[in-house]
Amino acid sequence: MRRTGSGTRSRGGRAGRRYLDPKKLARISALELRARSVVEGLYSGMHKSPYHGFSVEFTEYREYVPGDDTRHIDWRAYGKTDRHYVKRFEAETNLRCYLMLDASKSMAFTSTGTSKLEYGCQLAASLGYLMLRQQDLVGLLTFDSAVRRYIPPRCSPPHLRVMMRELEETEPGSETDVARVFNDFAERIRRRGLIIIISDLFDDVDNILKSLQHFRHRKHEVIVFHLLDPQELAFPFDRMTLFDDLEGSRRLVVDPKTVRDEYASQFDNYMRKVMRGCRDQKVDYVRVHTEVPFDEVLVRYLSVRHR
Amino acid sequence: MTFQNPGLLWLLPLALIPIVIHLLNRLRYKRVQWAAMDFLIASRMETIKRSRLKNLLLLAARFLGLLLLVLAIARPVATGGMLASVFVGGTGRRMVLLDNSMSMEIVRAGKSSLDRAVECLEIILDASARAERLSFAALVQPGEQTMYVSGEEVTPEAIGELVAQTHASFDVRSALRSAGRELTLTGDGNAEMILITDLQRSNWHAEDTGVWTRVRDELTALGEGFSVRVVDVGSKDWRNTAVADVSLSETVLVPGRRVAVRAGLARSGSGPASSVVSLYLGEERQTVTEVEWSGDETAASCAFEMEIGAEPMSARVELGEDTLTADNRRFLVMDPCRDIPVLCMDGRPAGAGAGGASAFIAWALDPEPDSDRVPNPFRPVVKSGAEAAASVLGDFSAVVLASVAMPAPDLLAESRTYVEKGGMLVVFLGEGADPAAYRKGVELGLLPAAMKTIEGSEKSDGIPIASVDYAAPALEKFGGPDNPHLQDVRVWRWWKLEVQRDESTKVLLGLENGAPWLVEKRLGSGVVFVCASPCDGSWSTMPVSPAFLPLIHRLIITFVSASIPESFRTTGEPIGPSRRPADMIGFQVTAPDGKTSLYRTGAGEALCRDTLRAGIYTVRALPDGAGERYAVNIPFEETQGERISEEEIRGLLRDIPVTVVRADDRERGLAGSSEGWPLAALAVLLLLVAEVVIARTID
Repeated sequence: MRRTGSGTRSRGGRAGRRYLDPKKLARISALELRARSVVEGLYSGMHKSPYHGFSVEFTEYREYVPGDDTRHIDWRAYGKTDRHYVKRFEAETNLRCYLMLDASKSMAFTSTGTSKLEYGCQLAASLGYLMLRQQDLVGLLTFDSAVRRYIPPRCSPPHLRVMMRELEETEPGSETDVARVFNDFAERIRRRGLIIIISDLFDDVDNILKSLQHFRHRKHEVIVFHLLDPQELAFPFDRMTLFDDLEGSRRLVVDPKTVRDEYASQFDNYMRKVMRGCRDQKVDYVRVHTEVPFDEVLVRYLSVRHR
Repeated sequence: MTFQNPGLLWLLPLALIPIVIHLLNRLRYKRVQWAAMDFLIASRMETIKRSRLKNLLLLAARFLGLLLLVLAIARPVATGGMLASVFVGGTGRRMVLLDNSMSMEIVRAGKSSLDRAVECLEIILDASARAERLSFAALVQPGEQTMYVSGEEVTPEAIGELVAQTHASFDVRSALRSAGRELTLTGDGNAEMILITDLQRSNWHAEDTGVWTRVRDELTALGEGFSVRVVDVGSKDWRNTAVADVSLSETVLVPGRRVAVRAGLARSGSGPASSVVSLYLGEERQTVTEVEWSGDETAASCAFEMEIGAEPMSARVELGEDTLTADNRRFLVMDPCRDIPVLCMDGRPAGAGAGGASAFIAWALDPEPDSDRVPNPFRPVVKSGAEAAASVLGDFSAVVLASVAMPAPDLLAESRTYVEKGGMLVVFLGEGADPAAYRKGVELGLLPAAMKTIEGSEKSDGIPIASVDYAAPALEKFGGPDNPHLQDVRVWRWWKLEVQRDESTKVLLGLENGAPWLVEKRLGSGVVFVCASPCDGSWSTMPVSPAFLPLIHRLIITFVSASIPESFRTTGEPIGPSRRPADMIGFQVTAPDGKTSLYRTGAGEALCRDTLRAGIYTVRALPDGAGERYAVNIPFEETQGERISEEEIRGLLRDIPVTVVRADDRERGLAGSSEGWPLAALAVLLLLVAEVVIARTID
C-alpha cells in the first residue's frame, strides 16, 4: 500500500548520511557537471570563466585531474610526494552553484513513501556532493514563502557536512511563494552562477517564469528539477474523497471521477506552460517523478547535459 | 390508476435508495492531504455545473427507475387520462350493466363482489368520460327494475344512488335485452355492453335456450360493431351455507296448537362442519339447534317445534355467520286462524232419527265441543234445512248438505253464488235425495254430477274404494304408509252419478266397480264436493273409518288454506293488498327497515316492486284496510355458487364477440383501463439506458 501524504523524516545519525547513498554517489561521481554557459569566476578545468586573474589566498591542495591547467601544478609538492597536486585558492572556484530547495508544505506530499521534500533533499545532497567533489562552490537555500535558510557557497569538506545537516533538519514549512523568493534571491547574488532549483513549482506559473527570467537576466544558468508525485500526475482516486490542502485550510470533497479529466487537462496545460517557459528562457527543465530513483534521474540528466 | 397488488406499494420508499446512497457517499469519503490543490479547485470549478447536472440526472433516473419498478411490480391499471385514452377500445356507445344481486354480497379479502364491481364501474366510467367515448351508461337492477343513467348524468352521486346491494336475483337475459333496447334507442354505430357480474350460473338461465335465441337476435340487430365484455368480479372459491327453505307443518295455524318449523339447509363445499341454526320469533331467539355436516353432504334439514300464539307472528330461521351472510336467514309470517265456521244442513235432523244425518260431520269437525283440551279451529253449526234457509252462507267457510232430500232452488242459486265467491260446498247424498231437485243444481253449473239411481244392496259386504286421486291436495297425504287407508272403507249403497265432463270436474274417489263416489268441481274461487253416499254410516263405513276425520279436515283445511293469501315472496317479486276493497285509494308498504312507502291505485293494479331486501313487509290497504304481512326471502338459486364458464358464455352469445375479463387480473382492460406494468417496465428499461448514456456522455 502506497503511503500518501506528508512524509516523515527521521532525525539523528551522522549528518548527511541519510541523503548520501554511497552506491548512488559512486555512479554520479564519474560524471561532471558542466556549466553550459559562461559563469562568473575563475574557470578551472573544463569551466570557462569570464574573469581573469586569481585569488591569491591559498586554501588547499587538490589532486591533479586531467584537464587542470598544468601551470597550477605544485612541483614542490610533486617533488616531495611524487604526486601531482594543484594549488587551490579562494578565488579559484570554478562554479558558484546555488541549490535552491523548495521546502514548502506542498513538498511534503507523497504517495510513494518518499515525499517530494525528501526526494529533493536527496537530490540536493547528491548534487552538492558532486559539485564539491569537482571543487565547485556550492550553496544551499531552502525556502517556502520566504527564504528559510541560506548557506552561502563554499568549497570545503566541512561545508558539505553543514549542508547535509541543514538538509537533514529541513522540515516542510508553509505556503509556497516561489516567485518572490526567486526574485529576492536573484537580487541578492551578485556573481553569476548556477542556480539549481528543486521544487514542485506549485505556484503561479507566470510569476515563476518571470522570476526565472530574473535569474537569466542576471546571467545565471538555471536548472529546474521539477518534482512531481505520480499521484499528482495520474490523479488515480475513485471514490468520494476529501482533499485537504497541504498549504492552507482549503478542503474539497469531490468525486474524483467527475474532475479527473479536467484535472489532467489543467495539469497538462500547466506542465506545458512551465516547459515552454523554461525552454524559451534557456532554462534546463528536468521533470522528476518521485517514484523514479533520483540517481537515475541525475545520471540521465547529466548524460544528456554532457553531450 | 389502481393497483392489483397495492400491498407492494409499501416498497415505494425503495425509490429513495439512490438518494440515500448518494448522501451516504457524500458523508463517507476518504481523506487525502493534497498538494496540487489549485488544479483540483480549478477543475472542480470547471466541472461543477456538469457534475451537478449529471448527478441530478443520474439521481432522477435511478429514483424514477426504482419508482417505476415498484409500480410495475404492483401492477398498475391505468384508469383514465392519457393512458386510458390510449387503451380505450372501440368507439361509440357503451353500456354498463351491473349485477347487484344477493350473491354479490359475498366477501373476499375484506371486500364484497359488489365493492369490486363498483370499483370497476368507476374505472370504466372515469376512463370513458375522460376519453369522451362514453355516450351512454346504464345500471340494471335485478328483478323487473331497470334503472338507467346516461351521458352527463353519470356521476358518482348517481352511481351511489343506483348501486345498492339487493337480495334479489339477477337475470342476465332480461338485463341484456333491456340494455340492448336502450342501445337501440341511442343511435347507430359501434356499441359495447359491459356486464359486471359474479358469473353465478343461476343468473344466466343457460338451459333456457328459447329466450337466449331471442336475446341473441336482439343483440345481433345492434350491428357488427357490437360486442359484449363480461367483467368477472366473483369469487372462485365459493363456500357458502344457506337456509334454502323454511316451511310450517300446518297450513292453517290454530292458536294453541304446536307446529313444526322446518328449515332446509344447503351448502357448497365439503368436509365435516357444523352449523348453528336458530329460530327467532320477532327479534327474540327461541330455539337453537346444531346441524352436523359430514363428508360431501350438501343438504340438511332441521325442525323447531313451537306453539301458535293468538296473535300474528313473524319468525325467521337463522344460521351462524359464513362467507355470504345475506342468505343465512329466512323469514316467515304466521297468521293464526281462530275460527273456521262450517254450516251443516241436516236433511235428517237428530230429532228425526238416531243422531241425525250430520252427526258424524259435526263430531269430525269438533270431537270435543265442550273441551279446550285440543285447540280446534272448526266451529260446526248444525241446522235443519228450514233453519239453514235463514242463514247467510257467506258467513261460513264451508257448507255441508247432509242428506238433504230436496234442496230448494233458491238455496242452489245462493250456493252457486257463494261458491263462486270462494265458498266450499260439500254434498252428501242420502236415502231420500230427489234427483230432480239436484239436477237443477247441475243445470245451474253448481254440482258436478247428476244422480241416477241408488246402486248396491244393504245386504252385501260392500265394495271398497279402489281409486284415489292422490294428486288432489286434500288427498295427497293419504298416500303415506302412516296414514289411514281410504281403501279400507266399504260402501254397500251409493247413488249412481253421471259426472260432468269438463276440466273443472274430477273424481277424487272411485269404487272398485268404477262408480264415482266423491266428485270435485272447481267453480269460480270455490269448490263443490259431491259424495255418492250419506255421511251417517247407513250406506258405508266411511263415517266410522279412521280416514273420515282427516278426510273431512283436509278437504276443508285444504280449501281454507288455499283461500288464505300467499304470504311468501322472493325478493324482487311485487306485493300488494290481497283484497282490494272498493273504496281503496292506495296502500302503504312498510319495509323491513321500517321505511314506509305509499302507492296509489290508478288505472292499473298498483303493486310494490321495491322488495329487493329480504324481510317482513307489511301492506295495508288505504284508507282503513287490515295489515297483511309478507315474508320476502332470497330465491334459493341465488344462494348457489356454481359459476358459468367463459366457454358457456360464448356458447350462449355465439356470434357476438365476447371478452371475459377477470377483474383481479384486468389483463385485457376494463373498458379503457389497461395494465400499466408493461409501460412501467419499458420506462424502467429506458431509464436504465438513459442512466448509462448520462454516465458515459456527461463528464
